[in-house]
Amino acid sequence: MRHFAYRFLVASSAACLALAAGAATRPRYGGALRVEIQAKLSTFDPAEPLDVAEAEAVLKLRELIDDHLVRLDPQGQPQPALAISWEHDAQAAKWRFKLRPGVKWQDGAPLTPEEVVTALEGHVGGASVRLAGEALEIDAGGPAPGLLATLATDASLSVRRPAVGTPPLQRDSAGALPIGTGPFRLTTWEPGRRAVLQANEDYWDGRPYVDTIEIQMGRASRDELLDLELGKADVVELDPVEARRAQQEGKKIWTSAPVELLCLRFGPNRPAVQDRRVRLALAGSVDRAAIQKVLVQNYGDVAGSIFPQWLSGYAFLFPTVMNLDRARQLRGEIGAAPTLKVGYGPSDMLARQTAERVAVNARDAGITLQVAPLPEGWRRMPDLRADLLVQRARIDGPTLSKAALEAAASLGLPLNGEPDRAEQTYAAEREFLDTLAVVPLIHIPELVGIGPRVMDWSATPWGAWHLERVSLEGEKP
Amino acid sequence: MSFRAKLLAVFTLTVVLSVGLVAWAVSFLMRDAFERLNSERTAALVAQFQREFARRAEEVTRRVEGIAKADETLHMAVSLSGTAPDYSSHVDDAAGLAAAHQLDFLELISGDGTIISSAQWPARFGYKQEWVTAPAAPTDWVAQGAFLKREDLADGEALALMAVRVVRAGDTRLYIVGGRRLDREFLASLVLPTEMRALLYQEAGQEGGESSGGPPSAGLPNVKGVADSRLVDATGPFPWSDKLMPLITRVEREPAESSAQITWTADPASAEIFHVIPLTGLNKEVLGMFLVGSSIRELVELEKHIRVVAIVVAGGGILLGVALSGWTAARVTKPVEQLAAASRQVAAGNWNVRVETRSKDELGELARAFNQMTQQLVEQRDRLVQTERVAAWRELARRLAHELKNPLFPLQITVENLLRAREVDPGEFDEVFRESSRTLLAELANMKTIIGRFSDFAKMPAPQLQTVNVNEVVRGALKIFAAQLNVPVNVPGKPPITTQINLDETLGAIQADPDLLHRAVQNLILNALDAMPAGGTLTLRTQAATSGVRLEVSDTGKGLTKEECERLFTPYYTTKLHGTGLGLAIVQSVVSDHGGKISVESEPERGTTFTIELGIKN
Repeated sequence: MRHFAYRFLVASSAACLALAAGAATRPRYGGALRVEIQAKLSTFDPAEPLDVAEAEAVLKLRELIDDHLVRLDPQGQPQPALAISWEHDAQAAKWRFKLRPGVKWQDGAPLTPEEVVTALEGHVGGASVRLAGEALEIDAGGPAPGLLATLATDASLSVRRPAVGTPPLQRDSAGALPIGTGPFRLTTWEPGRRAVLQANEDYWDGRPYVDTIEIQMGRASRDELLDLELGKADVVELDPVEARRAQQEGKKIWTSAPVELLCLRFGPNRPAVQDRRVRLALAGSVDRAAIQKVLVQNYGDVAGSIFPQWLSGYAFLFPTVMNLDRARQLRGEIGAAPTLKVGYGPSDMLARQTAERVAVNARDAGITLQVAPLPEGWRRMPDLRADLLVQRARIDGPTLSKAALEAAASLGLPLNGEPDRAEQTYAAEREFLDTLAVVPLIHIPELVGIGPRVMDWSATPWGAWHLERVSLEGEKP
Repeated sequence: MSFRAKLLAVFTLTVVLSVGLVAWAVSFLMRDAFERLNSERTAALVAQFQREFARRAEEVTRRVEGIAKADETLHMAVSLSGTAPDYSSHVDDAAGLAAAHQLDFLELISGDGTIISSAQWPARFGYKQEWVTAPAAPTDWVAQGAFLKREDLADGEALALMAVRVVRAGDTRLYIVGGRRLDREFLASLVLPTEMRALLYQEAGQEGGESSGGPPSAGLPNVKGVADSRLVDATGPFPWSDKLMPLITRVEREPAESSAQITWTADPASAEIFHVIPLTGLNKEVLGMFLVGSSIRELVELEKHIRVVAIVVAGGGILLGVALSGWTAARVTKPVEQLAAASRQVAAGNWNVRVETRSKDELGELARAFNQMTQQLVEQRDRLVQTERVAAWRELARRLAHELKNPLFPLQITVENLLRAREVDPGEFDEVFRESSRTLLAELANMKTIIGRFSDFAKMPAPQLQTVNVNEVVRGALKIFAAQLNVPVNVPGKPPITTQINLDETLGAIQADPDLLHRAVQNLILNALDAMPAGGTLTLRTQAATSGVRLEVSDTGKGLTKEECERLFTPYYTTKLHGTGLGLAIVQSVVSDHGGKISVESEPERGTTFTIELGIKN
């Protein structure tokens, strides 16, 4: 893990800490935390091909229900969770974890070491997982210095009770809801609409302050802001324009580090964009600064690279300025060019606005773009019938190597295993961007509106919420 | 053409012309009235369009004015009046304001023309709208009022009715540019009379596309046309745009109101008269057109109805004409036909025919004149016959006298010589008596011959028909004249006659009396020889005729005059010094008795040709 990355994390967490400082009074128990999100969740399985917002929402929800062996503090340092201590050999290849005793499932059953092995087995790369007495041993087969970060952030490495015949954390055939060892237990699940979680009284890290968390799904950013203003919601996801407005009105806004990449992605087999000059002309015509300033309301950063500066430290090496003259020259060389079809996720407002703006910019270069939403479930479709997409990709790390794996999965960044040095990531990224398969536009942070009742808001800079630490003003101490 | 046909033609022509003239006059007046009505309806629709246009213009102006006067707009202007104004926080403002004030288009534009926020094209923030701040732009937007503008959109262009207001915050100006779309919904607000349609055409700027197909609009034939998204009616793109493009192009070239008749299909009833009004923008440039179409279906159907009625009336008139002409003809032409039939009988020799008449009109007068004429003809014929008989008798007497006078004179001289010889020289009386007796006998024989000829002519026998070869008859006749025809040259008193015999040996036999035919040919040859006292060429020719045989006998004599030719076959008429005038009369009699024809052709000094035509079956 690169040291400079954590320096950035520390700095970007200042706002978070300031919020926490404002809530220095003693936390109070009770009450229902009302959360509104834009995604409509129909599944909890992160392996499903979900939209970025949906995947992030699934991750956040699972973090409330499940546990990991370790977890990261806001500085990115591993802290004990289901494992109370750990040690490894000199090559960091063999790891030995001492499991926390007395942990119970949310239905009261004790968590056994065998269940932990069962939950992790097969998910830790090519490593073997086994019990050695009361301890858990993981043999990575080679040096794995980032294993703790992986165990802390990889959703597939959460410890959960395996469901038989049904996807994890979905209602099984008997109507039962998933059970974990996390701070909250899912008690109500209305797919796409609403979820209610109850505080886990037997949580090993102490009972959460709020009694319940009520999650409303599929709320538009504008409606979320309105609910926040009317006191109908305590925590809301906001788009940049609403976040800016809320900020101007004095609302509390939490901003993560840039954790998403908004980019253009060319269809790999689309004849209309096979000519490199078309891609170059299009990339050169985009006014990233206007998008960053207006559509993202100055919250994000213009991006010429996949990984944001706080993660890689080298993002400034990639150019971000537009070159309309060059774009027009390339367009002139192409001759007759067809109208390109630009797609975006149907529920992604920022992607739509960005696609429309890209179309306006491309028009200046003499390229005609036809903007249209992609069909629902577009991630599962083999042919999207779009020449290029305006797409978001989650690049939140919290380490560069972890972010590289995410980019490999979401954008097709070619990697030879998990890179352990920034130079490797840079080389791969440079080579990948030279193919013009992806044109980075903006690095976007996560924006959360926080209501006045919320005390002790806690979240990591890379966007992980710790709702178990949140309390509500006015509840019993 | 018969009188009856002429009468029918006149009747028919009169009826058709009359009906046609009336139908044309009615159609002309009706078309004139229809065009006047159509003009009035078009003018009414155009006036309605202008009223609706003005109403919407006022509405747009009022709404833009409302936005400009709103407190939040003023606050916005104030917030943008700093040295480094942040436009980004207002990027969504136009959409909200446009929705609140029911405007299709709204843009908030800074004093330098930069788009701060656009409701119709949100992604266009930061671009310039230079027309607002251009030197040529109106200085007083309030006085300018609403105007037509072509509005760029992400997916093309739209025709818009726009208004501009300026909000001032110190030196900062904020332009409020709002408007409403002028499209098919606008057309839908117009109340269209039946058989009329209103279309809106938007001039293409940078873009503008075509699409084909689409369901046909109401009133249009169900045939696939070519739609152009720039031309719409109240239901959507007009599917027959291609038909209207020539008219639209004409108005584009010369921006003035224009009209034309558009025919959609081969059916003339589908045609419409389109009136085009150019719609201009701030700089008087043509941005669109308002088209009013008025169907001529009613006119065409009315004209068709009139045409059908005219045809029926004309047909009835023709039938009536036929009946009338028949009746009239029966009244008028029957006496004429009777006269014609009587005339034909008269021509055929029946001069005793009479035409019955009861009428006292011109035709009755004509019939009576005809009857009088035939009566006079009969009387004249009788008189002529009587005259001819007298003449014939006189001619016969003259001939007899002439013929008999010649031998009588020698008889008288001889008898006087006998008497004188008895008185003067009785001794030589016997010698004189013998000599005189021979002379008397010779002259008596001569007289007997003459009388015999007359007798023969008087008792020409009826032909006894049998199969006869004409060539054989000709050869037989020639044998009789062999001595005369084979005279050597330079024999004194014997003219040299050359004979040319051209007989068609393929000639078939005919039914004829060989003796009579032989006699006729003999007479013709004799006649020809008499015509050539100084010699010449006798030509005999036989050949097949249409229904029999033709025999020609030609000489190269001095020929005959026309008068001689006409009288040649008259009995006892002769041009010869010692002829009886019976030879050719006998020939004509023989030919006539055989049912044939004889004709003569002659030219003076060129000779004469007699032609006999005889039928195979006589």
